[in-house]
Amino acid sequence: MRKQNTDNSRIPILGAYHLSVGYTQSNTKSEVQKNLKLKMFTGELVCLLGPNGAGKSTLLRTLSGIQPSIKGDIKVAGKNLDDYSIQELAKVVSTVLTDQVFVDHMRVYDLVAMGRYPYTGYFGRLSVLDHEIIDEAIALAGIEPLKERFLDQLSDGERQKVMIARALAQETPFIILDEPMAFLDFPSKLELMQILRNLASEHNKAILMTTHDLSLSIQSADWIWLIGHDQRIRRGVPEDLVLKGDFADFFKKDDISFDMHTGEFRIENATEKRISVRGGGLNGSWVRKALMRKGYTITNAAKGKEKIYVANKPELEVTVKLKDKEVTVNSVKDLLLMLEKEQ
Amino acid sequence: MSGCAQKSPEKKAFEKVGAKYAEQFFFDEASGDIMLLDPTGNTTALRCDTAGERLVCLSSTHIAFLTAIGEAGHIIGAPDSAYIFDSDIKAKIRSGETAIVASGAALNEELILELAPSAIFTDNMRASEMTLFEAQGIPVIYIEEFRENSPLARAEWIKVFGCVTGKQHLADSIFSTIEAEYNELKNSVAENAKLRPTIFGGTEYQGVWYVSGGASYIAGFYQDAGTEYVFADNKHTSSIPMDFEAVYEKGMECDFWRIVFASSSKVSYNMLEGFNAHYADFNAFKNKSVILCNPAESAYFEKGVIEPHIILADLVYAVHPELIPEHKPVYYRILN
Amino acid sequence: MKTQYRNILLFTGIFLAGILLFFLNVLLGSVSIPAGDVFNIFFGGDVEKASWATIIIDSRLPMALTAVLAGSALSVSGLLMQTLFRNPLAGPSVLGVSSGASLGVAMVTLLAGGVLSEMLLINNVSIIIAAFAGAGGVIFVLLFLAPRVGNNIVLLIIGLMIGYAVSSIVNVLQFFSSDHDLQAYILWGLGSFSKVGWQNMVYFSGIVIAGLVAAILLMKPLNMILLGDNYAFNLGLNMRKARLLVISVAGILAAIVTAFCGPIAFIGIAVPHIVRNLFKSNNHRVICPAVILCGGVFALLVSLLSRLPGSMGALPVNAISSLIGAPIVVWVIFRNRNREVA
Repeated sequence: MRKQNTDNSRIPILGAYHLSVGYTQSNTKSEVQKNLKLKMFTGELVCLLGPNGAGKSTLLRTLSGIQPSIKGDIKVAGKNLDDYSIQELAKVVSTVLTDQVFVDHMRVYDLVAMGRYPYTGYFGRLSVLDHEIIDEAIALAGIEPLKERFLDQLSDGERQKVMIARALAQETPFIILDEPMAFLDFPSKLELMQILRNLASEHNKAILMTTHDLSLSIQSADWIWLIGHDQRIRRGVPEDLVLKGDFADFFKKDDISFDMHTGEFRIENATEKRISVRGGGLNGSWVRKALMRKGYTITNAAKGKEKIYVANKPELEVTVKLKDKEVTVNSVKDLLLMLEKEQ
Repeated sequence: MSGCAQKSPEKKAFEKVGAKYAEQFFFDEASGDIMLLDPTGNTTALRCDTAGERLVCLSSTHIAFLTAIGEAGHIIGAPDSAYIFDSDIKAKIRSGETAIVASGAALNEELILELAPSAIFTDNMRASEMTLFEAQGIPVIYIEEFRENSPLARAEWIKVFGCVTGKQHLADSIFSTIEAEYNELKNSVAENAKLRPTIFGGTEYQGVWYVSGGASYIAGFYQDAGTEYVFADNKHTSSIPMDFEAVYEKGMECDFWRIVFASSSKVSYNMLEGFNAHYADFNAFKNKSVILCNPAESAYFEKGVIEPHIILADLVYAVHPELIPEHKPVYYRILN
Repeated sequence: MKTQYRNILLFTGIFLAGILLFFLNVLLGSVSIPAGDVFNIFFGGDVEKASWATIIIDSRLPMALTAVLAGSALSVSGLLMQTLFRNPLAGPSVLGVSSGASLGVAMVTLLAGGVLSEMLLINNVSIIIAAFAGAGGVIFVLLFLAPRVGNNIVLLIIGLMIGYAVSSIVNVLQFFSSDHDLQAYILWGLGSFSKVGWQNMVYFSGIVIAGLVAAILLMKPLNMILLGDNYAFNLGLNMRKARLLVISVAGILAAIVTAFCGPIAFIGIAVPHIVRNLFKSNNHRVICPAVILCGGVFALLVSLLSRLPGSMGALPVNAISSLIGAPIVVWVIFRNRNREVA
């Protein structure tokens, strides 16, 4: 992929002011989000997070020109979105949508090749250069082995990557993805995030995506935009949002809490049980995780005062002090059983 | 287009001399041509004596017309119709002298071309299939006698056949005989019949009863046979669909019930009742006054059109037997 | 590329099959004419019977030509609609275009003697004009509605509903018409390639070829439409404009064939499926020309089979096309199911 403006990497790709998005149906406007102020530069990966129904997809569809905004200006690559012709816009913004593409007898290569349509002539004939760009896009998306496969022979993850390759073949500075990681298994999510991160960092693309995966977003995004039902947007570098408590605020619900240390949400258990644990290392950390899941609040204890001791050995060896005796077990399962029996 | 058929979309001035009964053709006094009206009111001139001697006809009624004027021997193509009764044509078909050029809806265009006919008799229904032959210069004569709404008007079409085959005088005299016999009987019925019994006709199919219009061909027979048609007050010239109950209500009290019912086995009152148990409620059914025509037993759909005087006599014999006691029924008879 | 050679091979094979079928169509018929005489008719030798030249030149040749053009037109119309509606069961009859044509024909054949027949000539030309007017009316309604409804499925449903409504009107007309008029209408409905003839060939072939060229010019937008409205937009396609164009071309092709040959079923649905399976592609740069070719060949096969049974003239084209087409559609659907399971 030809690198775009690597020497001057911070070019504003998106600016929106007083933007209202939503739907207009027979003269009644329903605003889903209003008064949004958005800014994005090339080379940035932005994750848009928020609960279902907050208008994430509506916002993306508006920014990519599929549906009109209700109010406000959108500037894409320095020009008003409304001033673009459909053909011009196709060279600036590419999208990967949640729309399912099920086409019989369509080869992966042919689909990716359609990314070149904004540049080809009347009959869509591809030049040698076009074929090179298609091959590069396929390589970047990591789908070379799938090139000659038919679309209906692919898994969801593979198909998602094909759609990303198609967007890459479109050679736009701005790529918008709606829930690209939905339906993917965990390794595929990681791989996909890796590809997107790489596209932003190494190829200077501006990438805006929605996702529900908070921890992956915190790990990979340059910016996180949080939108909620309160029609307020919070924007920030992930770590700032964590430390300012924005996440904890934002997703606050009675039985869910945000763990600032791990950057993960946890289900809060109602009962308060305290337990003292001594011993560290890998084994200690996993034993603590298991106890937390079972609703214990863990305290550290000095030697001899502990309820549970995890020996510092490669193999798991846990000693539990019961009322009358000490028992040593070799698996977390046995430990949890033991504690359950004691109660 | 060439030959005797000449379509003239712009209506040129000519002397119209009406046919006596028919409304779908007339004579042009100046040229001696017969002018045919198509359903849109446009006219086609038919020059006399141009049909030649290799005739293809696509309806069994054409066979009857041609046979009546002695042209049967020139029929080289005929439809494969279950209603062909003419034994001469049947024999010629069997021997291969006359070819079957249409069966049901299918027209064997290639065979007609190979026969190289000198004229084709058909009706406007097949107009779209005739362009091929017209382009070859084969005269196509559109016979629309079924659009006439009186028995004598239909029979008068024999004059059209007479004209194109050069047998005007024979056709005229045949028609005069038919006309005279028909009118004589009609007048005698009008004078001598003491009362006019009520009549209705047709059968129910899938809940619908197609009833002859009050101004139709059939209604003409009813009138002339000295009967009172119970649906005479509608002025339709064709059949109209009616609910069973509407017919049931009016037909119940009727003295006579006329049906045309094709059946290879013998028709009986039991058979009719089997189709619809309500039939048995009709007065005409109870009194055994059903007038039946079984087209499987007579040439009704073939020769009926040129024998209106016989059809009329059949009906009169059924309704007023005392007026023509000697008559032997041909098409219609009282079902007993 | 391997697929490219395969495609060229397929194109050549189908083209040769088409040539063979064309000759068989000219050679075979209810009147048997020796091959030698057929050869002589074309290359100026002596022919045993003068009428044979007429049969070959004026009956069989225009009929075979009509079959090719009608088959191509219906198949391309079907392809366009299947792509536009992204529905494998879409076809010329689905949008109500055929029903519209039927209504037009019913109006002139069944209302004979009524108000309409005062204005129209009841003959070949009037049936063609009526069918075209009826189909055109439905296309017009669809074009009017297309920009006003958001998506293709809604438009498809509207098309189906128009079809049902129009068919009902035809049923009512049938109910009130005489046996004779009914027969004329039924005759038209059976479908036939023989009514175009040389006298109408200029108009028929002119409109069909213009439609086919338009379809070729639409290959790129059609590929984009395959991906759905949003992706098509993202690739720079003006969906509203494209939709109007595709409906117009598909509609006019279906209308012209229905007007001249009657409503011929299943060719429009079946041929695009055959082509996609044969060429293993959904790229319109390949399948659009392939559908034009295969449609013509398929119609030649239908035409030949409809005239094979012997001396009794032709069977209705509509019956034969359905008899061959319906099992193919079923086969395609089963094949696709099996592949999804595997």
